[in-house]
Amino acid sequence: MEKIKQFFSKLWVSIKDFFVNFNYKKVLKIFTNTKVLNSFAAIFVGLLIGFIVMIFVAKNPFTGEWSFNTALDGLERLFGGGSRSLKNFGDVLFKAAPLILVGLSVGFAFKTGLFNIGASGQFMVGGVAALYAANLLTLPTGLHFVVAALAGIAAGAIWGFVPGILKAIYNVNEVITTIMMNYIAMYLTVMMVTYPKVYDGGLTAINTNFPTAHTPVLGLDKLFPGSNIDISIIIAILVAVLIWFVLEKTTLGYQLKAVGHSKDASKYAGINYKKSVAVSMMIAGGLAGLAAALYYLPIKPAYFRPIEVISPIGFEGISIALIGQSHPLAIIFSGTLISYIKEGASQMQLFGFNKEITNIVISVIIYMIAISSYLGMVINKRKERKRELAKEEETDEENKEEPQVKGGEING
Amino acid sequence: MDYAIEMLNITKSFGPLVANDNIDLKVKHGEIHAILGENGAGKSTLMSILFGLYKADKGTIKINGETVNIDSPNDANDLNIGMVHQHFKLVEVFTVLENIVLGLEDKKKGYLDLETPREKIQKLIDRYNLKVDLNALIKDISVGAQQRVEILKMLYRDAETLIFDEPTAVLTPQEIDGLFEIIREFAKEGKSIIIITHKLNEIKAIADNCTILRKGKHVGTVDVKDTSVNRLAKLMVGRDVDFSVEKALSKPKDSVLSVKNLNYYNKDKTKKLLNNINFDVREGEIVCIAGIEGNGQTELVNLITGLDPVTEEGSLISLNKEDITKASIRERFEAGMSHIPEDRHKHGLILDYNLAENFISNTYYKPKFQEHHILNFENIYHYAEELIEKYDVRSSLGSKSKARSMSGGNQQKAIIARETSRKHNFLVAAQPTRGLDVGAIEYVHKTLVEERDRGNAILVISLELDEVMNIADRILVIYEGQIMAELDPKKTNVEEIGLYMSGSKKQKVNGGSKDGEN
Repeated sequence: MEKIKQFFSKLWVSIKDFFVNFNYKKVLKIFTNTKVLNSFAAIFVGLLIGFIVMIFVAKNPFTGEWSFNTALDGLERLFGGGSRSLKNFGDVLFKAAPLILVGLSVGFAFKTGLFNIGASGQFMVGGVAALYAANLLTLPTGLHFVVAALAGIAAGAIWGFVPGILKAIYNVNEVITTIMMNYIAMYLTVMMVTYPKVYDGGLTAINTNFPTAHTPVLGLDKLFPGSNIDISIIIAILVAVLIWFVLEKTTLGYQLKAVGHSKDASKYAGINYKKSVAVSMMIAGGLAGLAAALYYLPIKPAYFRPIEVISPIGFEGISIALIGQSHPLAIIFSGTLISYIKEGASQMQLFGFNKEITNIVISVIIYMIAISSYLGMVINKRKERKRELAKEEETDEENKEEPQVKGGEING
Repeated sequence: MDYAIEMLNITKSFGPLVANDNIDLKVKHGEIHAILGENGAGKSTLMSILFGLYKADKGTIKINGETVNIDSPNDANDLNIGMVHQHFKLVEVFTVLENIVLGLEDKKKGYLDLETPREKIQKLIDRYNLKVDLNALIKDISVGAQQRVEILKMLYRDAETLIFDEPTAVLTPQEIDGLFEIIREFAKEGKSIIIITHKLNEIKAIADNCTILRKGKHVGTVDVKDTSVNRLAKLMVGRDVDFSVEKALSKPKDSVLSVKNLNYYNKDKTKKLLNNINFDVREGEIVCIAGIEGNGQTELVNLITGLDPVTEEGSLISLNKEDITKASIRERFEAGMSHIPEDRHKHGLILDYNLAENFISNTYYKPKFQEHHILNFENIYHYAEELIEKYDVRSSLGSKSKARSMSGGNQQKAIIARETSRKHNFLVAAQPTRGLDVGAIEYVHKTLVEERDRGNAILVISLELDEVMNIADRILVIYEGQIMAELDPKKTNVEEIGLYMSGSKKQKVNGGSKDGEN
């Protein structure tokens, strides 16, 4: 207990430090960082190409004729739909929470040298576990939510642990095992979710009600009237900060990143490679499980339907992690951004656009990030090579200055 | 006099750095010309200009007296200039033959024709005795054979000027001799050879003339015959270099590391890699394991340090009287072991971590660096500054520089700093001077002797016989996984060690250390 208290007090101190030492130069530095600029440029180009596609498909909703103005209207919604009203922005934040957590799941795995394609599967089992806990247990309001969310985390963690342990002991590639675990999760959840206490198989086909286990709202709906917002966004942000803290400030993060950077060097240093991989996948799975809990537990939840489709959210998580370049704090923004664009895209339907246009925009953004980071890499490499040569020469010079005093003359 | 290659007043700068400052290089037909210099002296830049990888800012290049313009490696090829890079440029999954013709493929009715080139290449192989199996895949052949493939590649392209970048860095002593014979053969035929190196003995052995570069400047061109090794070293480094390591007589005390009946097989148990190894390392002595690469040294180190598990029954490794045969790597560190690994990029450093983070890579869990699992960065960076100061580790950003961005010598210094600052009384150093230049080698040797004088037990694995002779208090020679001899460096010589190394002589070794031997 004492340890946990200590841990959180340290966490609090470092967060406080961040705000106390906050100065605009630091922030400016973050935003002028090439990586961040790359992401912004990619987002801009993505939206631009999305707009070009929209120009091609734009039709006046009344006359059915091609219309540039409709394309402009669509663009306005795509850009501004998420912030048209407080309700819209509240919904953006509400939907961002699970996206951020899934992005963290993938991003955390990336940081530790693993590719978690299985966030979808972890999400699905986490969702079912949360729904079971919400429907089958009888607990007081508030505590019930916490238990249901923990059930989601636990299920997701188990789903991540299996590929983790397989990789650790038998060196099975986690990409393959997580994909397989996605399929297992898909069929398993279809079987489990049709349980009558969890799923109402009638015409409405909705999940049954669980009034005590809903995500608390805590008055946030007063800030964003009319929206579905609840504390899930706060949870997501806190978890992102926690993950950042674990990765950057703790021995666990040091170990996990070391293994991610170099398996051999960390083995040499006496770090338990197997344990690290298993733990890392478990945490990644737990994050996806938590995302599912926040996705299925709100007062107006998304419904878990028994259809044999792998939830696409895990793949969105990959996009979000890539846009955020796997930085836990950046993922808060990239997750919100994707949610924002999605909100805009759903409003574009008013003008006769398919909301799938978001997928085009998002894919273009990912492509652009891939390209820009490649271009950035080439430029950096050239810069670095020059710098390295310069440095070598410098150290060379330094190395010799002192001896030359002692060593006396030299000529060819 | 007509020169095959003339590079006149070559100047090349990268930003503020002048990598080549007004350098002249003249090579005659049939001459073996060495280019000597420490890391970063500008050797590679100069050769890259000749090979068309860089363009000089100033200066002219003349081939056979005619001024030429070399803009790309293709131009260099057309001018019959060939180069063997230090890191070979071969396709691992292609056969030797495919690699040689790659880029110059013959076609027959639109299909790839390998038979015509095969004949031509076979003739080259016979003529120069460059034994290599044309049908073998590159990944299956030895490093020496890969180098022969690179040489064949040049010959197949009718190269008249052959550039070798650090050709001996990856070869065993026998392979080096073989290579030198081939190079002499080329010279006899009138080809011009340029060898980039920082190994002085090899220059003495093979080169006619030697151009020395220092800090991008042309220090001089000397006739190798009339120049002593010490003089060459002085020209290269800019000061007197002392090759012999000064050390007092060792006074070994209690045994620290003890290896008993150590056996080890390869993965499918078809080959015995270590055969009944017995030895001790005592406080205050440096034991060197000499041998040609691939005779079980790597396996021995991996078993002692725990990178590979001991699999055979009856094998015993103990450290400070504690059985560590099955201990984890961290337990071994805790028991007093330090390890300077053979491959500093693969094992020694986490290249994407900065210097400070690398300094704590095997001690980060100690109370000094963490409290309640939270890293204490204040102490970590303070500790890093201490080590940087004490061991004179140089890098662009100090404790915050990424290990990847540092020079090889400083990377090794960082590892040595980490390993010798940790609490230990036994140090394994596997090829601690590999790929380092003279200054850094001196430094490593000095540190090892200091370590010994502090009463630590030291085990050094080395492929360089000079190094073994210089620093060892006791030499164990390994051949095909067996200890062939235990020798006193003061009572033996390189020739004798060589005989044991090649397996042509075997001493009766009763295992363990003999008391009163020194």
